[in-house]
Amino acid sequence: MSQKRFEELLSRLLDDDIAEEQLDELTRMVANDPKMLTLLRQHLLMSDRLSQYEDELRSDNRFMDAVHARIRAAEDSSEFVARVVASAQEEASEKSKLAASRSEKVWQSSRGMAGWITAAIAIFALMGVLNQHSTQPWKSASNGPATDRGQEEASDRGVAVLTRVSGLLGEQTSDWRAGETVPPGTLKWDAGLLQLEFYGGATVVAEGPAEIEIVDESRVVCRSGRLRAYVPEPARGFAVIAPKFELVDLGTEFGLDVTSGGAAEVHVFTGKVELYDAESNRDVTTRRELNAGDALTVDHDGTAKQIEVRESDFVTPNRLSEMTDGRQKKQLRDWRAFRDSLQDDLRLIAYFPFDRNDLEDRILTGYGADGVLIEGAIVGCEWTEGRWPGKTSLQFKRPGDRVRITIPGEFESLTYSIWLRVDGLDRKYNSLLLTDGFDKNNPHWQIRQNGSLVLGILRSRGDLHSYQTDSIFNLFRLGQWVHLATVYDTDQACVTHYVNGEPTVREPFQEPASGLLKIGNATIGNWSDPTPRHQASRVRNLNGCMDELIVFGQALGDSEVRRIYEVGRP
Amino acid sequence: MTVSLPAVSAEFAQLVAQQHQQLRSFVRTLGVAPDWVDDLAQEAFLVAWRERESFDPQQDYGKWLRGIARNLVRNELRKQKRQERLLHQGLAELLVRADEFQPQGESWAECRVPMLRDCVEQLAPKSRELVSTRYGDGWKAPDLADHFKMTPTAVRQALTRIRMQLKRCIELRTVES
Repeated sequence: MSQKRFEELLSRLLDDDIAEEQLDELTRMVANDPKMLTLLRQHLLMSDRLSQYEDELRSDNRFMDAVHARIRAAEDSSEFVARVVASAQEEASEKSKLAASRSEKVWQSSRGMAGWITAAIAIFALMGVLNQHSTQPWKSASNGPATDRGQEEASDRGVAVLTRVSGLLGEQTSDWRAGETVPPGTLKWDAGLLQLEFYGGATVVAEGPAEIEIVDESRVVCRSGRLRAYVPEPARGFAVIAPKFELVDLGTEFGLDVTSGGAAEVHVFTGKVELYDAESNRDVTTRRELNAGDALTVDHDGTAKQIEVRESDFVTPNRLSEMTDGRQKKQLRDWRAFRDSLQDDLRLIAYFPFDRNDLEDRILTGYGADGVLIEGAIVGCEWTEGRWPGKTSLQFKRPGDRVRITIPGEFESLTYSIWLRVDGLDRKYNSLLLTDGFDKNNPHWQIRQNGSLVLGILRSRGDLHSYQTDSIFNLFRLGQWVHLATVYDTDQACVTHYVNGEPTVREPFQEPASGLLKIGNATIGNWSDPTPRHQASRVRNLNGCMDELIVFGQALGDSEVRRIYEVGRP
Repeated sequence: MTVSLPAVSAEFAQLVAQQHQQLRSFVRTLGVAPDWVDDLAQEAFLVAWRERESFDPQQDYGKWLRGIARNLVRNELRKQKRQERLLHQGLAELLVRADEFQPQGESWAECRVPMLRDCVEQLAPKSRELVSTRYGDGWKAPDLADHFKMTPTAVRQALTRIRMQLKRCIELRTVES
């Protein structure tokens, strides 16, 4: 009898349907019967394992996200140093990933001036000190494998920022973009202008054809090309090494023109400079001083003579700024023509050009299939400048910021395309476009905290297909406009991710497609997860700006993605 | 330009990934209410992260985590106000003590997901449906009874049988492997 009663009470307990006095009774029973107690514990355990297995709200990922979120929240107020170390380590681990990456990952492996840079040698030293206190491998606040990293970083430090570019032509120049961090190395281009701001404080505008080697934050070798340098007081000592002389700036503005034959002209506009013979190690006996208004030509054999100063030959930073403004206006016009033409594209299922509507600035206007208007509800986000002056974008900053949209329909294939500027990867998952909740055949498009772009599709309960890139955002990629696209192609049975118009990863379907993809109610830049349970870790807000989002109900090819990038490239 | 990164190391993240399933079900066996199991298990990992300096690498992680979880339940029991995270005070006290003196330690309790999955997916169709409706959709016996045209008592008995069947299946597979 008591056995039967025990089973009755136990099964009620496990059904979450038991009254307080029944619990009292059950407690008394098991207190006196070790066998019953063991059985109770076994059932509780198995019941929970089944619940974990079956209940999506208790999935592994959700649980682990919540653990990370809680630890992060607890640590947020302190451990600043640990964070700095962690970001340096992140950088280092990206670098070693880069070294190992396959050649098809075009974007990562061909970044000439790119930012695989860390100015973090001092931080690595600090990290070493911190790690001495750790006796277990997982005690350091790192994010990558605990291998000996960092050594390869030492020779690869950023020393300048590329701040303006105009009309660049040349083999190397395809990925030279304003905002890039520039490490020591040689820049060679056929035509066009660029502006470098050196960490030491000097600003240089250089015009191609040119070949310039950046030695460090205050020294460049000019083998050919025309440059104008502005060297304010804190940058005094900035030096340019020409084929026949070394020019040391004493706080001034000067121009230097080196022809491919090795002859050079120096023009001093304000202040003064010193010239020393090449390779004389600044021997004072070879020193010549030039003052404002002086100009000198030095032949390939080293003979020098006075010439008239010609300031207008050397483009100033202001002039370059005007030129880039003009170019930006043209780019904006071209993009607007593209925007208008896109609205007739029959494959379009949602297009948000992120043009601010001053009359209703809490509505994000979009265009759906057949030109139907889609209204997105802006929550929290603020309007700001986009890729060009005169173009608007939405800024996502706070945990609540989002845009709510609905995209009806079911699709065999999908193409996502976005222009965005990521300012930080604050969350484990940083949303681009997420369906509400995460039901079967719902695509989730987002960026992981390690900087990888992910398309996740739930095929059935517990069966998540996830297609992702290696990390594409590192410390030095943040704050710059980037174009991302992901194509889910059922005909070719593969998913392709694109970065700045180039395919970076193409991965076959992990399983044949089963069922059509549905977006429905969804959120841009965040996640709306209709779950009744209280969980701490559901925030997936993006930190950055979005300037254009396109969703096609079909798979686009490489050349079409490339075109969207080319026409929208700032 | 700032970037914020995961607070925990990859190794700790791996520890969480390896241990969480067992720890969560363990927390349930201490008499924690089902809706609070994950909350308390998360808290245990948070404590583990904070106290990582005190962990002896020679020791078993699982055992260490279970000790932390037991302490958290004890703290809960000491609270004056309503202990909403626990099913029942007397039962929780009993279960915590039982764990201290007679740890369950059976190998089947440590089973990983693939083994559980194999056993669950091998259930007869009706049993399988009963499990997913109960545990996946959260239906209770009276609703299940309507749906499956059974009495609530029969549903509860069926679920009890299924749980024991799964336990045996896992034990068998554990021995075989």
